[in-house]
Amino acid sequence: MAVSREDVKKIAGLARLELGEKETERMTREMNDILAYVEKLNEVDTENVSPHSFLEGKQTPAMPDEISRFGNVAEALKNAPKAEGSFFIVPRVIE
Amino acid sequence: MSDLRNLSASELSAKLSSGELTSRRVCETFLSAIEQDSHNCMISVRKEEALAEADQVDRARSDGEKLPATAGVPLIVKDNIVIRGKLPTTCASKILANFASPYDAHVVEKINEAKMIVLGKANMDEFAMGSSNENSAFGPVHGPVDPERVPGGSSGGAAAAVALKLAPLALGSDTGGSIRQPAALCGVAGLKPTYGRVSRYGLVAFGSSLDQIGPLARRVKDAALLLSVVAGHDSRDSTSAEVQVPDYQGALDGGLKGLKIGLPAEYFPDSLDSRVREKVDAQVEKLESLGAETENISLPHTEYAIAAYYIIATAEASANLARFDGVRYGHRSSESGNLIEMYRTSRNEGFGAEVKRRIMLGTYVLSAGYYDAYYLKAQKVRTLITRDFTEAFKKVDLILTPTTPTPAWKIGSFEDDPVSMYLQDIFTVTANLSGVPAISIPAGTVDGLPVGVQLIGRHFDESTILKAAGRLEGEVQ
Repeated sequence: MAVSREDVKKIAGLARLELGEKETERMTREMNDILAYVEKLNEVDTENVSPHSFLEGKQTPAMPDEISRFGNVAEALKNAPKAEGSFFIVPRVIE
Repeated sequence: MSDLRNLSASELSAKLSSGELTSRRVCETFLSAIEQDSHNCMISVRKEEALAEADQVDRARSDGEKLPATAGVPLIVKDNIVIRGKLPTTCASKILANFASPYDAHVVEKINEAKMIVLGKANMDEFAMGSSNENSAFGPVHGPVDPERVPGGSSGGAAAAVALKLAPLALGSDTGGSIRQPAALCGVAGLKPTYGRVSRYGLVAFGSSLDQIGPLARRVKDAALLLSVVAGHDSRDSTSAEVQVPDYQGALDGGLKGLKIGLPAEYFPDSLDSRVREKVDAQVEKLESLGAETENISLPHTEYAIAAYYIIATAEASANLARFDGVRYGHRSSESGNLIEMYRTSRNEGFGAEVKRRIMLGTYVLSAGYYDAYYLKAQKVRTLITRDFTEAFKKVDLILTPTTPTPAWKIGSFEDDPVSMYLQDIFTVTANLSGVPAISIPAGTVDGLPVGVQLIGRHFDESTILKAAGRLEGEVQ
């Protein structure tokens, strides 16, 4: 068993999810099934293999350091669950 | 009226250019078909906007204005590609059910420049996570041939809509096979371009090192047409390649004499359904009769692809979906509480089971103490999988495989068995891991259900894929 129910609860906390008891039960089972399957990767010898195959020969392109104005604050706030002026309103962050 | 729906996008384009058809008539026909359809292919339809745009094109044409060849041709777009305006981009999720994007995706800007007309947004697996289109908050899509079976996923709505002739073209997205697999199960063509070929700006990210937007169509020529509209560099996507876009439609004219096609042993295991194998073997014979040469090759790390994929994709997904927190957009829980509680309940209420499962897995494999064992290891195996292709392409020009191990299964078959569902992607994930382009085209049917054959090519060599697929398609009954 790679993950226990306690582990699953901790991971849910990290992921900002809130799983109920039944969901946690099910998730524990499913995660263990999937993790058991991916153990397969340990059969592969990856000594001296780079994890960055994608980057071979490539450079991250740079953008010119120019300021551009985003003119549409109103439209950007349209989807906000709660907004005031040019702010998104959230529950108190600092107690 | 129904004859119009049988026309390809290229044929529609010709008749629109000549004035034989008006864009209004074309759009009305497809919109009417969409309205009457019961397969749940669409999440939203933009009827008034589409008809207004159609009228604009018709007016411009009658005024003698010079228009692009594609002007007035309609298409549908998978609902994880943002379109600016009131019509929501939902990603088939409750968490974005009312999200009205303030901007257009790059591919939508290109479609607009080409004066093509978006009829609506296609249903999909939530956040593109799934292989069956059963994971949609808006209900499953029903297969076009047998409505009790899945259309495949995650671009299930797009593939089914094209198969049902609700639109001549669609744009989907492919992270582990999400264009090619539903194309195969629905009996249409679907292409995943090379990673970096099409800008991801405006594609709601799932697996940022794997995602690509690509075309779905009934004919390869139409897939080539749509690819040439959307392909090309975009500075707003830092992974977008500065590689010239060749003439994809012109590429279809070439012959296949001397083309070397590799058949990888690992994609034709003994366990492969013999009826699927038979259909794929028939395609090999046809290619040989057209002048291509086939040879057996090996892609030795294939068996590790699913494991590598489900670690990398879920890791990237857990990072990409962290933005859905109820703060700036999307669902915010009405239950009050502190900030953390707001995040947790909003996400819990907004995300479906498969999305939660993948976020959990991704969070775990990236967490302290596990990063090296899982994520880093998977990325190294990914390098080996990519090298398999590089080595193979020293000997052959294309690689041919079945697209999926089976035809479409009944809705609900994999209810409690995520791993078995994941194994359905076995032939498609390698192209995403390596970044190479790949197409699925119809290869006939097994018990009346469509199956597909896949052609994989070198990086940025979509032309060769399209050429071979176009010739092969011509021969398919």
